[in-house]
Amino acid sequence: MSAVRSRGRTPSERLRVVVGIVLAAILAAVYLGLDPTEFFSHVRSWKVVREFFGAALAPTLTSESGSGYFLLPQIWEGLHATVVFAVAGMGLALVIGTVFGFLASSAWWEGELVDASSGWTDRAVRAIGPVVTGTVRVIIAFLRSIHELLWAMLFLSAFGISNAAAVLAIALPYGGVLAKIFSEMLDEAPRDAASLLRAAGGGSGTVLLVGLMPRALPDIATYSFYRFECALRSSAVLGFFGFPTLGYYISASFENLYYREVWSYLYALILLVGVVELWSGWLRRRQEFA
Amino acid sequence: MTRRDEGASPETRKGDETPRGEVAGIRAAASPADRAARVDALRRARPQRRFLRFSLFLLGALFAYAWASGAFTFVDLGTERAQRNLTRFLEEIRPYPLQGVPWDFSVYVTWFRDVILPHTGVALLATLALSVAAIFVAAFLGAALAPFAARTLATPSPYLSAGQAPRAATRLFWRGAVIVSRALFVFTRSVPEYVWAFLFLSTLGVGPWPAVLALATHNMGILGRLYAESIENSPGASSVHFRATGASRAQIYFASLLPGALGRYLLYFFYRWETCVREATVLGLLGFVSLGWFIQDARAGVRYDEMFHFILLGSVLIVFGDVVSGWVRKRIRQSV
Amino acid sequence: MTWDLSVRNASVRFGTTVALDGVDLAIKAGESVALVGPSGSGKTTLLRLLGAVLSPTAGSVRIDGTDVAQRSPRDLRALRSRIGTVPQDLRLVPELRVYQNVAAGRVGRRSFLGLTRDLLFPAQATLTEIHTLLDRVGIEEKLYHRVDQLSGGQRQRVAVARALYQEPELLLADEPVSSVDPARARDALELLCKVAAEHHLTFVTSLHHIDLAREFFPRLVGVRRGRIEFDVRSEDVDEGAIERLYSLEADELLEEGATR
Repeated sequence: MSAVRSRGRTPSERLRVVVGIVLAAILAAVYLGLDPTEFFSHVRSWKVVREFFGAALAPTLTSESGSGYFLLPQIWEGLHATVVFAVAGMGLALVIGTVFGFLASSAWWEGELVDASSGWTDRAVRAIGPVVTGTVRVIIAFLRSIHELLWAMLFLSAFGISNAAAVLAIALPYGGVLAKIFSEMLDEAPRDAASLLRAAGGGSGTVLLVGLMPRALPDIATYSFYRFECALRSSAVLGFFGFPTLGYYISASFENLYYREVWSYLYALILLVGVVELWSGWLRRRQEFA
Repeated sequence: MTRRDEGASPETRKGDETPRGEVAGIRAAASPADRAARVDALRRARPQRRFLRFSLFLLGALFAYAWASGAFTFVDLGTERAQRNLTRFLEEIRPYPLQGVPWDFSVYVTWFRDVILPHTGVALLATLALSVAAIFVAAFLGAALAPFAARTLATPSPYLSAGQAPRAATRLFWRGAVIVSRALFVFTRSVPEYVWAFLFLSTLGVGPWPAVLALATHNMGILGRLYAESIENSPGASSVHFRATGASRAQIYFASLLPGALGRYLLYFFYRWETCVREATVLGLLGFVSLGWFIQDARAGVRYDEMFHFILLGSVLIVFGDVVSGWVRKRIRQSV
Repeated sequence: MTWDLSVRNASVRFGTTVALDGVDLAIKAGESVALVGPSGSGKTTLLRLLGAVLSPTAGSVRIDGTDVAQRSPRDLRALRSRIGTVPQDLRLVPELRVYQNVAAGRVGRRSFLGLTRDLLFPAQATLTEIHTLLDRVGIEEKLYHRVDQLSGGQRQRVAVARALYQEPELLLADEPVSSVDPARARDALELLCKVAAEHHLTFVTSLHHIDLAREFFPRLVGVRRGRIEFDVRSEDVDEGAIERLYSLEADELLEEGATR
């Protein structure tokens, strides 16, 4: 780290951050009682550890239960449900993100895009804009600040068991995140073309449509795709709450001590996420979005 | 893929001003039919983004399928039973002493002081400490492994191919290093934090180490990849210079690449720390005593009022994390 | 049919900076005029007045016989939709294709849905109309290209086509030669003057380059320090006037940043 001091352009600032991080980490470690010498002192049974991690090298396609049935149909079902809930939740999240993201940005009421001298509609938009944006930003922060598992827990407690809870549990926090990012991207998009079109007599809606949206869209698409990867993982985890996604199969097999099955499901999940990651990476590298 | 075929080629960029009509063949006076045909021809020859189209189509189809598959239905939430459940739930998230009686703020304060507040410190501190320790471990491991995954650095002769050709064994070693470290990153980040936590806490026992390691494992995969990309995207000039003066690979990393990429490293660090705070709240559901543990405990005891308040507490913590991280990242960005 | 312009005793202040100071200018319908002068002299501000995007702090601007300040908001938008502008930085949407950028020119007269359709599923008639304009500016084969893949000169042509698609009565151009490389400056001006003549437009441009202005425009208006220095036929411009126009004073150098 001494190199930082000598070469960084503003070394003191970044160095201070690094030192702060190290101090915080030490405090955290002390608070949690993270004693390196007790690294494995909690381990109840080394045999379980050995068996479980050993099974990583021997995933199985036939069940370890007595009947020894073929496992692929179950893996398929888990993958299927994982994708279905992720896609459905992400679709809803996109709707939430688009509507709230638009409202939370200042693009539709601020700056050159709305001309206070031109008509009562624009004046009205200018007056209510900040209020709407402020309110929506609070809603977005709330949606984001509750973890998808906790949303699921709330819905399960409120409505009883229903798979719709899983979709909502993904849609709400993801919608909040998307809305936040969308609004930032809209706000950061260059406004030169928009202000010219405004000068060509365009209204705020049409100017936004043709002058601003296209500029933010590539970034929005890239980010949405990245969140889709995350949604797949979240969807898998929701299985631990009884939804029929991969997490359900993982926990069930684990509780039966069928460790090789657990790894089969894990590898299926890794494959799924890996494929989607390749897909989005491919789109990004070829700049298909841009 | 035919997109950007003509426009991007250097000839057309050089040849700037296109000939006026003569070569293009059609003048304003051309018959409407000719013009329509020409427009049609141009449309057929337009640069297309087929892969993007295909992807959008596929996603649209997936979405339609997901809603049509019957795997879930929102009708569930409208049934009479669900509505009864909801009414009861809304009553039960009111603090216990206030259920069935008119709202009284002083009663609420007393209840909060007696029931929630005693656990607040432990819950919040444990969650926060877990997130900080985990992201630190993740960043440390990620930064340590990233040089092996960065294709610009993990080669037999980084930044300068001088002297005799490297031995086959050396070449093989570095190629292997890239593959292994990248595979490790993919492997660790594809499995969600919660699943790692479930596996670690169940096999290694409940304690701070398994919880920290679970969070750190997933984030190591993410940070390692991002860090490797930052190294690959670093401008090479100063590294070439270092290499020319005979610096070793490690010296290049620590003296040339790391200082340059530190700003990005820190930005990613805080960006992931935000998500660590989120995840740390729920890891408690698995038995480690963080916020989630109190949430789970309240839920198991059907004390929805407490559960609801601990969830809100977690939401406050996450907003706090976002604000801190946003503030630090802004400062880092300004100083980079 | 095209518009005449008149500016009467107009001043524009930004805070304490005086950008224009009591300017009088009358331009007949169908006339081509070049505003010349050093950068920071107030040319761009004057263009913005003529484009009805800026109101004078004092004085009046009449476009097509009516004071801009007297127009209703609806009327003002209708007016603006007939003023084609080719700004210095072009202000295209690089992510969109050429026909989409041109179609955006009619943003003032299209409904939200109509414009959406123009962008995504343009009617054959719209396309042929746009193609005709692209043909006129010499890049008809770029109809479907993305703007960020075009060269600087081609982009400027797209901006001209966009302005023409507005079916303008008045064409304004801000330093049209500064966005293309020097060798192409002549082409750019030739094109603008050609389309302005073909469409019988009132055409006003600001131009730093005095020689080009003399070559292409029958009438030159010299602007300096927010005032009109001379307003003459180009063959009558004498060297002394030009020298005075471009002689820099220390305080002007200081002002430059603020007025631009």
